[in-house]
Amino acid sequence: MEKHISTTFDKHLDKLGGNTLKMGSLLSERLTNISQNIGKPVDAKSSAAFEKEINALEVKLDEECVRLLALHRPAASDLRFVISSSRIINDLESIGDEIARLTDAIANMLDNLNEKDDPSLNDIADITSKLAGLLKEVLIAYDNEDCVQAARIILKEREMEELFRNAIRTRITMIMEEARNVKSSVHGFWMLRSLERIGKCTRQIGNHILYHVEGHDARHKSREHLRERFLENN
Amino acid sequence: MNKKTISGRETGKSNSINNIEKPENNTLITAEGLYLYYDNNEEAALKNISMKIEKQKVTAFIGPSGCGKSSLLRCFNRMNELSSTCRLEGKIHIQDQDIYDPEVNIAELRRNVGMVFQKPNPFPKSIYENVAYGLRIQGEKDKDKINQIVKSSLKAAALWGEVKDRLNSTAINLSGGQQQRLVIARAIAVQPQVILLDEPASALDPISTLKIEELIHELKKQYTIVIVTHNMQQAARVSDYAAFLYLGKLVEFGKTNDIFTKPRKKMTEDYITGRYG
Amino acid sequence: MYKKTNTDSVREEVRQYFKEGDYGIAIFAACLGISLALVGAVMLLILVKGFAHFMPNDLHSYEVRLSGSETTLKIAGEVAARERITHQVLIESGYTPAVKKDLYERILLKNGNRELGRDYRWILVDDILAKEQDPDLTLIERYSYGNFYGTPQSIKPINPATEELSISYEEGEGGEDADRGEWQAKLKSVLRYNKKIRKEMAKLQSKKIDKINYRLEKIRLETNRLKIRKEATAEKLQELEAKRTELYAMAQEAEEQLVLLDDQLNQHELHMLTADGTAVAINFSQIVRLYQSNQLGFGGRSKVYLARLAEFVSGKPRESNTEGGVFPAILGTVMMVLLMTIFVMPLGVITAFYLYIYAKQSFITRAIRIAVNNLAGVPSIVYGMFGLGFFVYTIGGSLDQLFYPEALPTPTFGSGGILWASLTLALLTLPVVIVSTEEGLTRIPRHLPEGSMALGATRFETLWRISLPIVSPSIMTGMILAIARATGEVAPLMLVGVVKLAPSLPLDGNFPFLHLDRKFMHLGFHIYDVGFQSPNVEAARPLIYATAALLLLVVLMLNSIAIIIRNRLRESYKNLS
Repeated sequence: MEKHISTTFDKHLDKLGGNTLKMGSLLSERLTNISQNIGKPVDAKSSAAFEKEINALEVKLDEECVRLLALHRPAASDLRFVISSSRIINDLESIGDEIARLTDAIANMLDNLNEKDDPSLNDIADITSKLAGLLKEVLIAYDNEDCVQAARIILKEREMEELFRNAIRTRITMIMEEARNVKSSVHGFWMLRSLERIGKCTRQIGNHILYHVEGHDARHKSREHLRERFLENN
Repeated sequence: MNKKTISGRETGKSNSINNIEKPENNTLITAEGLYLYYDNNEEAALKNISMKIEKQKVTAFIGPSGCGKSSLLRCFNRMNELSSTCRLEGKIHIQDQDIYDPEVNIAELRRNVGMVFQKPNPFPKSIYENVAYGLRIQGEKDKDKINQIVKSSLKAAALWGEVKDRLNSTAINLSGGQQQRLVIARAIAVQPQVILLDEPASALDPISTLKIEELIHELKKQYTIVIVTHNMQQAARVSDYAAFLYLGKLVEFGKTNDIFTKPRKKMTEDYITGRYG
Repeated sequence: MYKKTNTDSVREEVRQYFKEGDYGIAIFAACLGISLALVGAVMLLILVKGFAHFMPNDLHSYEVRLSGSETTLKIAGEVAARERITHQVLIESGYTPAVKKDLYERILLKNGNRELGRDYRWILVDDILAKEQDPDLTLIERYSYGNFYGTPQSIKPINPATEELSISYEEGEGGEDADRGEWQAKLKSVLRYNKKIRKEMAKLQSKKIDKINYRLEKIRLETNRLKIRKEATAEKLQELEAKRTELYAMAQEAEEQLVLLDDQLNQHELHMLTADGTAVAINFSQIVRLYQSNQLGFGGRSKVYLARLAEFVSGKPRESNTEGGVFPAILGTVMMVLLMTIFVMPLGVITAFYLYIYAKQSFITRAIRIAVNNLAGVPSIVYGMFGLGFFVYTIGGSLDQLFYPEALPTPTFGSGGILWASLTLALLTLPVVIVSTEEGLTRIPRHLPEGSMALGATRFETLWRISLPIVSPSIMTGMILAIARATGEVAPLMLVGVVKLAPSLPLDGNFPFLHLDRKFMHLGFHIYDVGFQSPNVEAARPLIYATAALLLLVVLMLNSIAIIIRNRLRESYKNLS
């Protein structure tokens, strides 16, 4: 898009976009990291530091949004960009929270596990790595203002329901097989819940991108609607 | 806050979801294929402009300097004709009356379509005489009637409280904002249908500007208002409909809400977001 | 350490001075100073010389040696001028001085007594043998023959049949107070009585005789008109004749009254002795006023000064304009200027409005504007020629043919008059009014008339209610300039109606009070006439200054009125941006 007449406006907008991306990429890296190292002991210290960093970024980015609104009074696409960025930041923060819960759940599970027990975290690792990929993609779509990509990601995330359902079914079967699996399975449920939240936030980010680029509010709309509006012509 | 007007129609910001259009009943001014030339050899100042302006709504014209928004505004009360070389093609109807019909009495038209200019232009007369000017032009002699109209017009322009004790002192000594409200009162005094505002607040301080904007909100209960403004925030604040003009062409015309959040044309987008160079 | 020498520091200062650039201010200030000094000098010279004339001077009696002889002459009067003259010039003028010098000083003595000889005389200071400031020397201002200087002898009744005794002026020391008192009382009573009679005569003249004559003239014209139109029935003529007879009777009666009054003036005469001993009897009817200025203190002189000034301002001219007052000229000037204003203002203002508001701004409008501007530079005498050729001969002649055939061959409007003069000057000042009005119109903010039009006012309503009031200060400026120019013009007036001595005023008590066809007097022309056309240049010189001062005051007064009005108007629109 063309530059604004006011260069500070451009600078502030760029900074907001850049920082949002940075926050997002931190989160997606963390997710990838978790998926790769699942089952290994969790470094509580680094986890706390990570949460702190994410919170600090959120506060800073919120301030940037308010500053943009107050100083430049953005309109039209600029307004939508600021508003959607602000919402994305919120969602990213939620993702950060959920990541913390996820790591907590993994740590708790590992602490209480006997040597020979199978943690059976493969499906969770799979979901986590998929979500990390989606988050990465959605951030790229955000950077490119690409609503087709964003719509695709939303649909992909919806399609992950199947994975969640399978993981839950596996854990229910495990509980039914042996009562001592209850503990680890409950931890598994907690993880899945966090992961589902992360997925939902990722989907929301996709919606915000749609709003930013097209001015179209796609929240609470059916998949068919999305397909019709964004994918079929492309 | 939605209030019932005289006509019983709901006013206030219209909700984009459940607003059902009834354009035929509500249209007051219709422009069709307008071309305006200031000089025969020159390029047209307005090119093929067609639009419908709704009754008892505020319509804002925005656009960069020289885009023709003031010229368009002046077409509605034929003020363009003050420059003798000006020529207009196309039609403008106000309530089914073609205002460029040769039969039309221009003075009557201008009484029906009041105008307020960029610079406050009170006449060098007393406050009272300023408001009574239009009535005197019409040959109104009844003192009681004039008194009453002056009072009600000043009240409608939210100026009565500030000037009621000095109606006979000169209007020149009022502040800029007061002068502009006086000029609005002067326009109201002849009971027009339409009020054209040509950048009414551009010479005023922010507080006076807000007062004028508040006044516009009040006035639209009774009058149809067309406003030209440089200040996009102002257009966004006061208007129900907005038209973006560029180089004499009407680029986009629609609900203010839409124009300022998701304009359809890139040109509008660029202008509104400050990318127009 | 290096120490600056004196020249260095001066040079440095000069350089500094020029570097600061303030030398520009000095030049501007100098220009302003010169302008102010010039204006001030003009005003001062004219006012001082003009108004000093009315102050009574000291009177002296001299014993003078006559040119080229040993005979002496006693002479009395006041010093009118003083100059230095070279021997050569003196010889060439036919004067033989007693002593030979390179440079002589001589005085111009106003010695009056014109019936006895010259009333001004140059006297070489070297030839003055004796000089005395005699307190008894008396100056008598007379209705004819100018001033008289001499010592009083006695007041005597003219008619020897009366039993009234003559009262003598006991001169020299030891004169009894009682006698002097009696003399003063008699003098005063006679003068006061004469003044009263004169007033009555003037009243009779203006209230009765002039009116009767005016009506007689009307009847004569009426008779002529009837004859020309062939409507002269015997009946009508008889009626007019009857009126005429009646008026004649009234006129005769008035004349008789006048003669009676005149007789009453001629009751006493004043016996005087000139400096060289000649006895002269002066009829009291001839005396305007008399005073012994050597005896007068400041108060007395001031009294005389004011009386003479009042006579100058309010009186009629005498002695071919070299004495008396200039009232007809003041009235003529003011009337002419006012008439001119009445003609030029509407015309100029309407023209300017048309040019600026209604006319299309095309090549022709521009050409007209340039032409108007250039008209302001046309020499005024050209306007005079135009006035004479067009107004007087063409229009005036036609008017006479059409409306005043009964008076022909005597022209009514067919010769110069105050109407034509003011019209000519109106033409002359028209460009000024147009230009300044248009100037004012260009300064009206465009949005004011637009605001009016947007309320449904027509162009004319806008012009009348908005533009005209706002532009009124500029119109007044135009008027001020027009008045200033018109008051000062003389040349064109000489062609279209100004005369040396007008028999009647353009404004008087006879219906229709304002007589536009009459010729009139003008202060400017009066200056020219008295200064250059007078038979007695010496006597007239102070009057030139006085008249000029008066003209200045008239201009000042007319302008002040206009400026006051303009400032009032301006006050109402001062905040108009």
